[in-house]
Amino acid sequence: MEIGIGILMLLAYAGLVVYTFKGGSIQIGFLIITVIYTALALIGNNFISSEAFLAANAGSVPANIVEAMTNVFQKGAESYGANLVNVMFGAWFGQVILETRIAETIIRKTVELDGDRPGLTMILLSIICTLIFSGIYGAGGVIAIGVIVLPILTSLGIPKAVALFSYIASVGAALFINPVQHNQWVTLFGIGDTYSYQQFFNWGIIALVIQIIILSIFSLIYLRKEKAYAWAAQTDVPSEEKPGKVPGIALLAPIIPVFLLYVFKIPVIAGFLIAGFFAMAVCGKMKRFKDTAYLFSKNFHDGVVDVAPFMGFLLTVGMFNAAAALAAPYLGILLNGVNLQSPLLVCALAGILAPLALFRGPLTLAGAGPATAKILTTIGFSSPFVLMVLGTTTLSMHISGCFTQSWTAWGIGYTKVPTNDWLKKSVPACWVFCIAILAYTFIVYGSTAF
Amino acid sequence: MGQQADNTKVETLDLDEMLSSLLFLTDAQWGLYAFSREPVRQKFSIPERIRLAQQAEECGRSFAGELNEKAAGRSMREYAEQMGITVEYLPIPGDGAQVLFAQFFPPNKIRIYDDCLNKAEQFLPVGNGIGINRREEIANILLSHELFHWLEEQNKNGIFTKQEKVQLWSIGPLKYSAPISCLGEIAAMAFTQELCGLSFSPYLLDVLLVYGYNPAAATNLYRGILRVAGNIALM
Repeated sequence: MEIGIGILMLLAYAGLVVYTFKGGSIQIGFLIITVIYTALALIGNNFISSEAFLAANAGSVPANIVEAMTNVFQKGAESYGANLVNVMFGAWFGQVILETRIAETIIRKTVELDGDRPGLTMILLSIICTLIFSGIYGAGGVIAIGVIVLPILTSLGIPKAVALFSYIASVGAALFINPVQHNQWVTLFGIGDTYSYQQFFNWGIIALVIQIIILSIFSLIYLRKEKAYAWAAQTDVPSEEKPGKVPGIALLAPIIPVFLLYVFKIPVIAGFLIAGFFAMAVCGKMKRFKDTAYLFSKNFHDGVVDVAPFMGFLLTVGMFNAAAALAAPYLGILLNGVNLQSPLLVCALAGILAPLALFRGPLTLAGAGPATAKILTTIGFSSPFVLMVLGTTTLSMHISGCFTQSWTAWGIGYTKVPTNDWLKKSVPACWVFCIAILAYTFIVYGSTAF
Repeated sequence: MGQQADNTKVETLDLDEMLSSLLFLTDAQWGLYAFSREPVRQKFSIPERIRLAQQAEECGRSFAGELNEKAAGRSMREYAEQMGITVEYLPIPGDGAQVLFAQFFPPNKIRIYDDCLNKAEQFLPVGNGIGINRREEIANILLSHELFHWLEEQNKNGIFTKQEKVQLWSIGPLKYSAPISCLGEIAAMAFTQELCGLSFSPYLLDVLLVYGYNPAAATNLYRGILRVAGNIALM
């Protein structure tokens, strides 16, 4: 009879996938599947399952509803507390980089390296944006830097869809080494103590390079086909104000947290604080204590507001994780017969099916993917390996290519690129990103799959 | 920090009032507006921008004179087609932060976007100060502008807009210079003004055509143009 419970759970998972594909709120989607998993597990544990089954899974079968609700809704949400603090400080740091005009100065200087060669300028800006977003986090930063980068690219005759894709995919590439991203995923997989940022970085930096190289090739191919002179009006006129006094050394600020964490193992929040106050100090934003205090508080407020919807989603993922632990014994029965014990097969399937990461589908950890991750780890794959596989489809397909990502949706609205044009540009390139990075992951990390 | 304009808070001005006011802007002021879009504008002082804009305008007018002779009374559309240029009219929505009017795709394709023409025709006041009343007149202005870019590509080894460069960086003896992309736009506007016999800079269409999509955004753009044009006082 446990199989019946397992089948119902699998149907609930399929329902979540369909719901997210249809554009439903993933936050509500995860809350609903959490309730379903918890209820089914309780019914199974109390009325259906055999003594032998319960004894075999004694660690994960709470018998009463209060215990289950405590584990799922209270402890599950609380388990993301530490992660949310990282997200908040990452968002604060992003606001500092914008407020001090460091990001704007880096971009202007990059453009001045190359001037009128659209292809080279686009590639250089992709690399620079990747460096910037390797340290900062949040949709606000992506939007604020986008309003600088996108008009520059389009003014050079780069079609809007190509410019937007180049920008969004470079943000996606950056997250392969972003400390806040690492923190989110190790929390999701419950491997915060065993999968260090250094391990994540060592895998992610190569993935990042692969994505940027392929992105550059695709951008040049798209540009070769579509370079155009355009008469277009922007609805605002850029200010003549100089970028401000941003000394050269301040331009290093965006990568300081990553550098400190990787080289000196300085924790990421300390890294954000060091880099943020360094940026404020060298840019002359700390001349008066009162102003510094106000700016610190304002940037923190703006940053946290920026990431608030995302934090809400993470909290429901935390609850889902806890519910999935209750569901694991039942799903495990179903998956006993599944012969998916090959890392090559998992990587190949993830590569072939990578577009299922679009529209918050089952291959993105920012969608229905956490449920898929649980299934894969239940089968027996190691959490770091599943993190790398689903991390690739998440960053290289969903974050880089799907307009259900908040900042991509903003970019499409800002540039008015038709969504079918966007998908035509993004999906083929993102698919190649996924296949190449999964091939690399299998070759180098396939041996760590179990 | 560059910010996207929040046009919801902008008071909307009357279109004819804005157009009439923009008629008084000089070529130099429109040149400054063109430079406000230039990615490497920080490399130029205001007087340098005005000098370069004047040279680009001369270049545009000179090409217009040559084309007038070659076209010998034919319409721009007929001339373009005779030169093997495909002219397409496509509807395209353009109500984002950038409104697209027309494009030239090298080597020989011009696209005019109907959507902005339809909207302009709907909003253009009868008896307006700029003397344009029909969508065909606006389409001709857009076509002429893109035709200049075709000429620019045909003459890229000698034309001022492609040959004038700015040094962006140097490392010892190694120097790197690049063309100034806004000069092509300035020249294309002067070319169009001359060819179409306009008493105003075609840049004025930026406000007119945006107005059809979003009057508040057009008002914001109008104010931005006046702000940039005001920099001439800094000389």
